[in-house]
Formats: sequence, C-alpha cells, structure tokens
Amino acid sequence: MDSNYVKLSNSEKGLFYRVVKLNDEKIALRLTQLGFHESSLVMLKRKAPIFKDPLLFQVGESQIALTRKEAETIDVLEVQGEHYHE
Amino acid sequence: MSNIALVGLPNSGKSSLFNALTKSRQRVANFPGITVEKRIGSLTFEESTFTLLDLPGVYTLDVSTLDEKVTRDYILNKSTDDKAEVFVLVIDSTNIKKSLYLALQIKDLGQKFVLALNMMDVAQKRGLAIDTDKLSAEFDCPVIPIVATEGKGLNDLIKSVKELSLTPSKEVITEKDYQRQIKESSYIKSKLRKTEEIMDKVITSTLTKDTFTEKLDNFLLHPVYGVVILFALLLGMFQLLFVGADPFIGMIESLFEFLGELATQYIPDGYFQSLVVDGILAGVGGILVFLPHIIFLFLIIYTLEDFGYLGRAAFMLDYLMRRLGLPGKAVVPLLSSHACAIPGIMSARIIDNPTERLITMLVSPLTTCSARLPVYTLIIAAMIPNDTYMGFGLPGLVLFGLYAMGIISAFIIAFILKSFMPNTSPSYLMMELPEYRKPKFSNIIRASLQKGMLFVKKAGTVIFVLSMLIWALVTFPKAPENASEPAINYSYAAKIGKTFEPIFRPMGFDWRITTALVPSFGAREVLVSSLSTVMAVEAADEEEAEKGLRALIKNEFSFAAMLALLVWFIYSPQCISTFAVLRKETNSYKMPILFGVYTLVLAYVMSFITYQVFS
Repeated sequence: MDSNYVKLSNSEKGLFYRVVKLNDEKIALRLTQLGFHESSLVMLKRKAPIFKDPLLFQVGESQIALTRKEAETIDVLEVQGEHYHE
Repeated sequence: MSNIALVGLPNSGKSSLFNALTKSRQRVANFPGITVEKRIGSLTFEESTFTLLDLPGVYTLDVSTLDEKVTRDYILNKSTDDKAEVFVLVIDSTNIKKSLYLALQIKDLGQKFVLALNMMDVAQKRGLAIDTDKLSAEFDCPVIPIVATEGKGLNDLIKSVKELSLTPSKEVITEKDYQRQIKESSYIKSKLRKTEEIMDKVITSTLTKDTFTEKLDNFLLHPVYGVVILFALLLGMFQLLFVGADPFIGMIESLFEFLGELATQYIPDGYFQSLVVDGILAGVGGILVFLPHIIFLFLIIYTLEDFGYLGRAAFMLDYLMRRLGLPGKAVVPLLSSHACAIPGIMSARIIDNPTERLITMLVSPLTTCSARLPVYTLIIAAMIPNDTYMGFGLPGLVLFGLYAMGIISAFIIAFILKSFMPNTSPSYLMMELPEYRKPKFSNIIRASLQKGMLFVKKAGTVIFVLSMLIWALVTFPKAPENASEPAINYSYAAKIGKTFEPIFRPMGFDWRITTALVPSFGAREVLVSSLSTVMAVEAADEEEAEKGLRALIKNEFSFAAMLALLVWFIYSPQCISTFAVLRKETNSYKMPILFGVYTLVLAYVMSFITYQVFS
C-alpha cells in the first residue's frame, strides 16, 4: 500500500482528501450512500465536544457525522493545494 | 382514484410536501406487519381525487434497512393492495447530486415518476442555476421546481402527475431482475459515474456555501457553549414535560372526577354504579391522562427535529451513550421516561437501529417515572428518620438513591440484553446533519396530535380491558352483609394477595401489601390509596388519610419490609399501560412478555436481597 494513504480518522481539519478505499464491507454500502466512495472529496470539519468523537465531515453539499471507528475504515489521500476557507 | 407515492432522501422536504398537499386529510398507520409508520392522505385536483402515500425516507434502495425494504417493495409493485401509479421523487435542490442515484434506480425499475425540485427558492438564492429541460430529458420524466413549505409549484406538480397517470403503465422489473442488477460488480460505479455526467450537463452555476448553518454550528457545536446549550435544552425538555403537562393532566383528572361524582349522584348504589364510576370512567380517564405527556414530548421532539438540532444532539451525546451501550439518541426516551415511560417508549422510534430501539424500549421503564413518587414519598416519610448525613437530609438521599438505582439498572440491563439479542443491522452512527431550517409549527402540532390519537386507538383498548379486569378483581365477590373488614378484603384481589403471600414472605410482605399491589398494576400511584383501603384507614380528607396511613405503616411493617417494597417499585413489571404501549410499538406480544418476565424476576430478587440484608 502506498505510504501516503492515511485513515480518514487521522485526517487534518480543514484539508481536503480524496477517498481511496473503503475497507469495511459491512458499512461500505451505507458510506457510499452518504457520499463516501472512491474518488469523492472529503474534509474534516469538526470534532464532537469533549471526547473528540464522533467526527463531522463535509462531503459534497452534505455534512456527515461518523464515529472515529467508522472513519478508520476509510483510506484517503491528501489533495495538495486545496484548503477550506470559512 | 389513483395512488401517488412520495419518495425521497431523509430531509428532502418530503413530509413538508405531503403536509402541503393533504393538509388535514391524512392519517397515520403502520405498514402491515412491521412498525414503520405509514402516512396516507388524499387530495383533489380538477375533480380527480388522489391518494397520497408518504414512503419512508431512503438514500438508495440497495441497503436492506427496513425503511429501504418498504420503499423498494412499493416501487417493485410488491405491495398487494394500494399500488402507486405515479411516484414523486422529492429532491432537495441544494443537494441535487445525492438524489440522482435514487432517481436512476427508480427509472431502472420502470416506474412512472416526476422529479420535484424542492427548496428551489433557497437554492436560487445561493446561486444555483439548473437546466431543468436537460434534467427532464436525462430521466425522460417531468421536472417541477417547488417550494413545499410555501405551497409554490404544487399545482404544476399535481398537473403533471395527473397527466402522467393517464399514460399507459410501463413494465416494472421483477425483484429477481433487480437483485441481479445490483449484484453486478460495476453497478454502483456506473451509477455514480452517471450522476457525475448528469450533474455536469444540467448544473450551469454552482451553489455558494450555506453560511447560516455554518455560523450556528460554530455556536451550537462549540466545545463549551455547545455542551452547555445541550444540557440546558435537555433539562428544559424535562421541565416542560413535568411542569408543562401537569395542568392538562390535572384538567383531565378533574373532568373524570366530576363525571364520576355526577354518575354517583344519578346512578343508584350498587354494582352498576361501581362499574360506571370505578370501572369505565376510571379506565377511560386512565388512558386519556397520558395524552398531555405524549403530545408535549412529541411537540418538543418534532420541533428539534424540524429545526435540525436532534441529529446534532445525538452527535454530541453519541460517544458517552455508546460507552454505556446505547446510541446517542437513546437520551430522549431515557430522559422522558423519568416523567412517564409511555411517551418515553413511543419516542424510541427516533433510534434507527431496530435492536437498539428495542433494548431502549425494554429498559426505559426502569427509570423513575412520576407515578412512583407518591409511593416513594409515602414510604420514605413513614420509615426514614429525618436525620442529616454528611450535610444531606436522609430522606432526600434515599430518594436520590432510588432515582440513581433506576437509571443505573437501565444501563446494566441494556448491556445484558445487548449480549443476548442478535443485532441484525450494524450499529452505526453514520448520519447526515441537515441544514438548519425554520420549524413549521402547523405540521409539528398536527403530527404530535396524531401521535396522541394513535396511542388512544392502538393502546387504549388493551389498557381499558386490563383496567376493567383489575376493577373486577377488587370488586367481586361482594363482602358479606355483616362484614367487619373493608370490602376489598373479601375480593378476588385479596384472595390473590393471600395466595401469593407465602412467595412474598421472604421480602417481608404480608397479604395486605400483596393485595394492595394488585390494583397498583393499573398505575403505580394507586398503591397509596389501595393500601389505605386494605388497611381501613378512616379519615375526613386525603391529607389526614395519608397521615393515618403513614402512622399505620410505621407500626405494622418492619423497616426492612418497607425498604424491600421501595426496591420492588423500582423494578416491578408495571404498569398495564407500559405493556400496552410495548405491544403497540413492537407489534408483538413477545416483547411485553419478555419485559414482564425480566422485571418480575429482577423485582423479586432485588427486594429479596434488600429484606434479607436489612432484617
């Protein structure tokens, strides 16, 4: 596996990532429904107060909440040069 | 008459459209055999009447959640009775891409459908430009822009639905063909590629960001303020449930008291009077008295949901609640069950995972509902000395301990049930947080009232029958002419109490307590009055009666027995309305029976231990 891949749960807030692979078959279909599929662009927006889990992602026009464990099943690759501005 | 079915993603504004089209001509039922809610309405357009069906919100048709199965079965024409001729796919215009997958699937299955681009006003304000003609050409179906909450575009929508309903039906593919389609490895990829292609063709100017939701989330999901607001809201909800519903409950009780007095005046003494006053009127009153709690709770839930906050509350609470074995949304049923388990159990529907919903429903009644309070305060006042312990009053500490035992037990039992019940669908959070929207109160009020009515209709009969049974048990057989004891002591209730006394002796209960327990199955607080009756407390008014009862309890029963009775009331399988609503919500007798068995065992064991330790 390419060493540049990171788990979505370890992604940095405000940076864009491209989804490379969904590793858990059991939740892959549901994740696809919500917009996490190969080549879709995602960004970590917020972490839940206190426990920093679940995480809130921007995917397309939607905001999707995933638990850290769910986000761990998604491999992503950082997209250089694209930042999120508030 | 033709059938129209609404389909769409969650939060697409499908329900708003349903409400706008049908107004008050709607009813709520369940889909046959399952507990997914089915909303049906009717509308008239140019002298044609249509039946409108609101299908559960789904993202696509391929994951086998219950909601998706129901929707898929409809689209595949598998439902036998009310087949839909035309489908209206409601699309949130601010998030079109996400709906296109579902649109492609419906097209593939061969149904006639219309695309309703909802919330077009917001989308246009945010700079979206969309070529509806091209979109229409892509799907070979009418595309109608609408604003459901303001009623805009509805005429055009119905007109095109009507025209479409007059065209010949297409061939709908079979379930087998559909299953074969989705099993092809390239199915999802090709659909996703197709949506990209369509988006490139039809969108001529893209959306700007929704700054309102962004700004509000900065505040409502803030690491500090967000948590403070969340707890303030939960506390407020709890208060409103307790304080807000109270006057209405009082009104219903007064009304039935008044009717009872009226009946006592006009009906001669005897069984018939007792049947009307203590049986029928008390039974009906006992059902209606739940309405304020139910309606208030759902007003709160629907408002938070409509506004977009409910998902955010779940987002913030999920971590903590999952450590305790339940999903974030379980906070709502568990908290509201502290007022009353009936609305609490009903509110468990907001939990998406069926197994977790079931477990939450089964443990919610363990939390301390308000009907336990009269019993708790009576026994505490009679038995617990008014000392202070480490600066706290002992009676208050005991009451706090009872509350704590209730909620802690609920979590422990949830944990145990979880390891026994097969979790059929994966337990996940994975949810979309919608954009904030202004709640539409006319819809919220209507939906809350519908919830109340559905409860009366579905649970009312069971509650009524059981409360009549209890009435018969305490009334028959009649006391002998020269009876020296209260009439109830000659009844079947007393016979039951005496028969079971040996079983309850290890908990320090005598036949008077076991007899008084029989009517308390109707409602827990009844124990206070039934114990008064059994022990023949004579007093001019209620206050004096309670004083007398307190003194009697102190003299007649041991400290350990009364502690055991308190513990019994934490766990006992009560009340009949809880059973009725469990039956209604799970659509089976299995769950109420399971609830009855586990609480009975738990109540027995826990009070047994309490008595043995303290005596």
